[in-house]
Amino acid sequence: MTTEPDILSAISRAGLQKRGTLKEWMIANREAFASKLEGFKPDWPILAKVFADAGLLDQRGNRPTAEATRKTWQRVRKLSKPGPRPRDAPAPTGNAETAPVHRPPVTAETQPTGQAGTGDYRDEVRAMLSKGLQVPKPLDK
Amino acid sequence: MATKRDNGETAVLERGELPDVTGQPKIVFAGGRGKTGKSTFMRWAIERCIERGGEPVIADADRTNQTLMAFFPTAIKPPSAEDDDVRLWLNDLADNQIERRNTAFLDLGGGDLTLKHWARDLDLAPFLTHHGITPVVFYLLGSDIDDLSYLRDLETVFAPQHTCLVLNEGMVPSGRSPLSAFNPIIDHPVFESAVKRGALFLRMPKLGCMQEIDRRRLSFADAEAGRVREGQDRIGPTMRQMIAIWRRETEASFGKVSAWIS
Repeated sequence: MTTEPDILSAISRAGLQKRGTLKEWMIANREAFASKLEGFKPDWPILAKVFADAGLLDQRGNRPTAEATRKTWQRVRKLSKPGPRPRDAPAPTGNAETAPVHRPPVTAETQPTGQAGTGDYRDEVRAMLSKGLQVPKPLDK
Repeated sequence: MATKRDNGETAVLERGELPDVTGQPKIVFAGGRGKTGKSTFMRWAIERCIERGGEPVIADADRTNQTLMAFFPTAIKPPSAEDDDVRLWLNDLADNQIERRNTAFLDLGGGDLTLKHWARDLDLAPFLTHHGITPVVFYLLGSDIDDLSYLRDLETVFAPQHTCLVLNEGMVPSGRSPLSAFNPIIDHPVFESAVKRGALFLRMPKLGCMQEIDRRRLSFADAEAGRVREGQDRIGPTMRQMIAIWRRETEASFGKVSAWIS
């Protein structure tokens, strides 16, 4: 069982100031998050609450449930892993807990050139398409 | 992901891994039903290629509407619209590409079955690959479910490794979002099957004033710069801004396949 304060602080350090989808966050912080879960059985209800409280929403714009959080993580894990580090490249410095976790800028060069083989290509296509005008959400009271 | 390469060998490709075709000779095909934006895409891609110093062969085999000829005076075309003439002309085109090793953009008419027959009879993708020419196909799709029929038919005989499904937001009916309009396309087994065999997908943004550019027969760069031909209406700042944004978005969207059209 993951120790609750540990995973919570790790997620907090990863930066959740900006609202977005849970999947986007998991993609951007995949390695750091995976390293925190390594060797533990994730407590998905707690994690789902942490993510929801931090303002991360599921693909449909709802607070993520425990099951949705677990499935999202499963899908993100299946996405392509980063390529091997070049042989002569310096080893990463710092540790995963203290290093800032951020999403690298997406450019033509960093975009994956293949999309096939992922189980949820539909999500990728829908994320790519223009969404049009959105129905305004009610204000928080 | 196990993928059948163009030369018939089966290789294991990881997601994100496609052979780099930068600088290699290619034949770029645009496929799809009529009025799905094939010629618009080809115009944009050819312009882009030329802007980057390329000297592509521009082949306009659209038997009903030779749009490319109107925009690129150096474009070549079949001697007639007769089936046999077009087929022989296509054979010559392939032979020339193999011999001269440059890149060609080939525009065929909407729904034209010539490519299907040509691909079937020559086993086109492996044939071109064997001779060092990379076949590249872009399928233009609107939001009409029947737009998938061309893809379904051609995939049975022509399925190059470098295949891209282009969801053309310019074809989405007014008042609908691309996200909702393309849902039936995305969920369709034909689309799914192409993606699962390795086809990429991307969006082509909508340009609200596309007809104004078409009508003037201008390149996108000229239209953005406001360079009109003698006697034509001027292009105002608002339209130029729309064109600039469209070009920027299109470039970003097609960035992942940049090498396919360079």
